Amino acid sequence: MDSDAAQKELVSDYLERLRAAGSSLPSTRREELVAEVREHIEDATRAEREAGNTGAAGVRNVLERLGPPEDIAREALEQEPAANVHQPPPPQNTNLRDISTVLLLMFGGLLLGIGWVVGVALLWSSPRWQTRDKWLATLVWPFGYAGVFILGGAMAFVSTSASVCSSSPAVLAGAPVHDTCTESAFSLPGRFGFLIFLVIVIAPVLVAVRLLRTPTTPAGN
Amino acid sequence: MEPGDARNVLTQLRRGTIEYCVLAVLAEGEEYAFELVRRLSAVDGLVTSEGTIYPLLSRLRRDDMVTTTWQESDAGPPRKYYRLTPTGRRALSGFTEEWTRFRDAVDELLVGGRGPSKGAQGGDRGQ
Repeated sequence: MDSDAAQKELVSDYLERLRAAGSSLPSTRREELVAEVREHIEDATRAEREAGNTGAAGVRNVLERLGPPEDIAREALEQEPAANVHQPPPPQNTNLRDISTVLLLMFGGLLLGIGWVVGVALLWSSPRWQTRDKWLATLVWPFGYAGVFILGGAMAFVSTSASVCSSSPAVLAGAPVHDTCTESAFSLPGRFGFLIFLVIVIAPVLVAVRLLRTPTTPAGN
Repeated sequence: MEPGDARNVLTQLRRGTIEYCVLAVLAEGEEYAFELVRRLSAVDGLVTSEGTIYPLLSRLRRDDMVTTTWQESDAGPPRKYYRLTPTGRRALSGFTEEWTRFRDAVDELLVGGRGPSKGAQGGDRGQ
């Protein structure tokens, strides 16, 4: 005859399977169900024993009649109002690929531009982002931070031309003209340059945050 | 018709009717879960997995078809007894009426003169 411990193990294994299969039930509901089934097993085993079916055979009969714990859990999930069923949140597996995409978009331009191109390819082939986000990410990062350097260079060039502009009429027409030319539009980068630079630096970071916080599964499942 | 289809129909029928069978048992008086399950499984072919009655009982309680009370028992810990509510009683009598009509209609076609009991066994009863 099987030992008492063997019977206990049969029961605890069964209840453990039930608990695992019902993992998406609200925890109070799940524990209530486990308690009810445990109580049933105790009652039924007692009845089996009274009928002469002692030992593990009785317990096995009881568990067999109860049916697979997975069936009970499935039934419980079907009977539960949908709102109470805990949908495991889509794993926030911002995976290596997604991180690479964003990093390449930001800094890939510094690798002879190729990195950025690879980043764009990864971005557009990813199922994670919507077309709107893909355009946003592509346009906010023309060549990523390499673009910022190119733009910075252009601005430096423009301000150089501006200073040339300011100096040459001054040379030609005399000292008073000097003032008008320094206040020309070309000096705007100098004044707002810092602000523009901030926007240019911050915008990619904001987009990066937006991309990485996008749920992995498309909305509206 | 494939044999599997008939089985499937029976599964669906069982699923749809079992809750009224629970209500019917409780209409005779309050009962605790194990005894309730035992009475249902005593009816041949009605319950395939006894364990699935428990989620059903929980739903019936949530739908206010049954209420539960804990009562002391002679043997072992207190037991949860299930009792029919007025809502449950109304649902049961409504279903009983519908079911009787449905059952009679199906019986009339299946058994009325052409059933396997009167016709040839597996023969040309389709004529």
